[in-house]
Amino acid sequence: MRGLLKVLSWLFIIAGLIVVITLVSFLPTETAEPVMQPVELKMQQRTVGGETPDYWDSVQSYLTGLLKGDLGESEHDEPIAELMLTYAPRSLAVLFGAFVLALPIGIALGVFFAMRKGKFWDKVKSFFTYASLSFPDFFVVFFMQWLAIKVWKTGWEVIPAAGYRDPQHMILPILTLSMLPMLYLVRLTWHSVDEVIEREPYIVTARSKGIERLLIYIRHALGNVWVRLLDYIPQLFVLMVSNLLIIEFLFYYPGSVFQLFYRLSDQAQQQPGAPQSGMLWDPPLIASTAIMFALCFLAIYGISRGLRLWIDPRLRGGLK
Amino acid sequence: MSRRNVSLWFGGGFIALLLILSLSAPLWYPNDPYYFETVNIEKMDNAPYPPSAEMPLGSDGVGRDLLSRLLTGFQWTFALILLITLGKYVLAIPFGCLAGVKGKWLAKLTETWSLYVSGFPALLVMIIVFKASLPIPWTSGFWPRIIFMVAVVALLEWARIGMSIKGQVEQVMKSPYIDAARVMGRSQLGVILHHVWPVLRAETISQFMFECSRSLMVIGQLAIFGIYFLGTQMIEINTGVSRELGLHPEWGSMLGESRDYMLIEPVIPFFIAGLIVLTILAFNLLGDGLRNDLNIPASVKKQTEWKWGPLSLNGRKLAVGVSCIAVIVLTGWKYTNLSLHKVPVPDEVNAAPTFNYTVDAEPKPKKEEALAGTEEGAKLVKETAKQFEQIGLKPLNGEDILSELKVPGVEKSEQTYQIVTAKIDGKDDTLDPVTFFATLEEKDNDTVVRNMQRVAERLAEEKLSRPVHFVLLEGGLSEYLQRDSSFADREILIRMLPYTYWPAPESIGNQYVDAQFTRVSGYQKRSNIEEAFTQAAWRNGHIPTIHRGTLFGSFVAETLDEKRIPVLTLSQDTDAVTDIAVDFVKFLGDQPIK
Repeated sequence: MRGLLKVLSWLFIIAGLIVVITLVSFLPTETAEPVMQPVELKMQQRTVGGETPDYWDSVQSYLTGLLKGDLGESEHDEPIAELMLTYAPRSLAVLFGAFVLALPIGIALGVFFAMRKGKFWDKVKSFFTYASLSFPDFFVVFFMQWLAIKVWKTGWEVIPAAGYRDPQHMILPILTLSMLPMLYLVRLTWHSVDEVIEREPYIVTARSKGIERLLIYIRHALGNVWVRLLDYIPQLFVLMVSNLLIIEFLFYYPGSVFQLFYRLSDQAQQQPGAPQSGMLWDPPLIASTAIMFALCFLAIYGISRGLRLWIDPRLRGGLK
Repeated sequence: MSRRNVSLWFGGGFIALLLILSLSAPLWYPNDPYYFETVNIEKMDNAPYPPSAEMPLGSDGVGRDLLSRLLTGFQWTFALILLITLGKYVLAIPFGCLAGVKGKWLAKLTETWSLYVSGFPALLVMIIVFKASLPIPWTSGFWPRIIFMVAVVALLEWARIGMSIKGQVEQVMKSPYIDAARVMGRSQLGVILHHVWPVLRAETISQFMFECSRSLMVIGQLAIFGIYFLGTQMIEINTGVSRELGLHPEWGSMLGESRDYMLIEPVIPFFIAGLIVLTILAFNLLGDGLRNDLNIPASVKKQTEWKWGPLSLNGRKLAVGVSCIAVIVLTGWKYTNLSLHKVPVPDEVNAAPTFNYTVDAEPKPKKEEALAGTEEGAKLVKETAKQFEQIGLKPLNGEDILSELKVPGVEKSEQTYQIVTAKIDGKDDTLDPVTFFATLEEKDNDTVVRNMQRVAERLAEEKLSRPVHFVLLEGGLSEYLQRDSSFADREILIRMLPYTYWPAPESIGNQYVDAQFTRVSGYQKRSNIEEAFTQAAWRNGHIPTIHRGTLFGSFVAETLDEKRIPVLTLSQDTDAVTDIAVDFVKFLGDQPIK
């Protein structure tokens, strides 16, 4: 039920945003661009003079198009489906890669931390906690880029600091994107395992039978933690999409979030020679991007729910 | 507790130190955070400047003192952190408390809103809202903008705190003494104020610090996308060159602006981002320390005994400390140079240096632009080839000076362009050649080609140590790259462009010469190429403006991982351009490039 609500929340927020943004775009703005590019002319016709297209009509036509599987056209008159097909796979590749990287390492480190006790390790753990709380994603990106530049300058030209052309351009975004979820996973695993180890009587039984410590942690404790980790994964996805914004932007990685913001931002105007874009927002494109991520979220949510049943036999037994 | 509370002392101490330093900065650190200087004439250097005695941390991209900006910047940053966090709590405390006590629809509202917000990346929403709505007139004032932005951030972030408060309140409401108070006839509000709130106070205070760190993170994240809480202003950083910069020194806008220098001067963003990380860490430690210090088991007895509730003696010490800081802040504010709407324009900027230069830009007769693919364009290129032959230049690579380049065309299947490639031999042909390169752009091609002819004429007379190559193409750079992909390997490339390409207002005349470097900067050791160009420009009475590559721009992004070549953009129709180019080649001589 809560999951359904969460999925609905995406759609609601998208709808709300589109309404707000479109209404905002009909408000007259203060500045008028001296040079009129075709796009701006279109904008001008919509906002100042000329006929204003009916707002509900445009929403309706977009939605009916959506039902037919047609994503419509962006404000720059490009078919959105085509844009999505070029940009979305790049984003998803990075998301998926980071996820695959973060999951095993995060869980392994979490179990490792849970197994370490004592004064020294307490200090390491508390340092770790604060580090994971305190390092903003932009700092991590700055650091990685700086490192990449240093490495590049030594002559080992394998990891580019930004941009996109070859598969190796994905290395840094994936590494960076996996960093924060990994830290969260470590903390979650370590706390949950700790809890199980301290609370559950069957651990004591297992111990008294003389089973090896590592085996207890992995089989007995971790086995009980899987469900909690699975429940956390959709939330992790939201966190990663949120980070993806900054990572694509700073790494100049042309994924779907980047191109969305490249259109949103006025950076395009500052470049000499770059095409002028007076458009600050592109509602159909925003909506399509959001819908794509919402669908991903839905898929991940469904998978994690399904896996939950598969992993924990107790939950299956509860279904009558 | 006999053990020192390390986190409390470190966290609190760091923030207090920052506050004191930033508020007292005008007393002991004279540099003006607003003063900028993109070109330092005495030192013949361009911003960013390296650390020196006057600027211990060096300068930022437009030449403003970094340390001064970091220090004064903390005033606004701290104010913004407090504003955002207070905004969150103004919503979270009443909603959380009421939801915990009353349940029903208020609880539902808090819960639903927190579910919505946690299900969607809040940063995305913020950016879309701000990017789309900040140009609206009613949010464009100074305070309206801040209030609007703080309100949006608070609205998106309060729910998490609200839920945590709600949980705590529900916990407290289960205690028997609440029932007792109810029986004694306390009203609902009375129960909340006198029996529930005192228990939560300590936890809320320590949570507040964690939220402060979160607010700073949001400020930084938004700044990455160019959204600054204090707004921006257009500043003319150089004659004819304006940039949109943050209105007041503040860490967010500093971070956003320093992003451009990631590739060239990674130290600058590192100072700023590093300080932000330290401050976030300090807030977290402070919160943690407070939690250790204040969380004395909250029994009913204690609450009646101490008027301050669970704030114990240590808490009192802390209260004294906080009020001391408040006094420092209030008195310090009075003496700082930070007035709200000051838009500073240093006098030194208006007093532009004067140079002796001659402008020979006589009004040109109106005629057809010589563009690629037109007869005029082809004629221009052919004329140049003829002139080069007359001067006595040799063909490059054994071809004729004038040859044809076939590239896939837009309309026709194949387009033929004229191309001129010539060279002047040097004493030592093993040295990397200096390549003068020009293509026919949109405007003013006559000027560019004429400049090139003049340079060739002058250089042919000199005894040069390096070979000099000339490439003139009817067409653009992309067409040329199809023919010669080793183009990027050239070590010294001088691309000649019309000055309209790099716009400068006509009113200032043509005294500026642009150079575009992508790898070198004044912060690091100059390369010999840059040195030679700078010297040549200075000697001829011109100010070298050096554009440095940034992370922005698709061109840079594409070439980011390739070998970067310095490009000189000689762009004016003056004799001086020729002078500088010749001087540059002579000065470079047979020096190694690096």
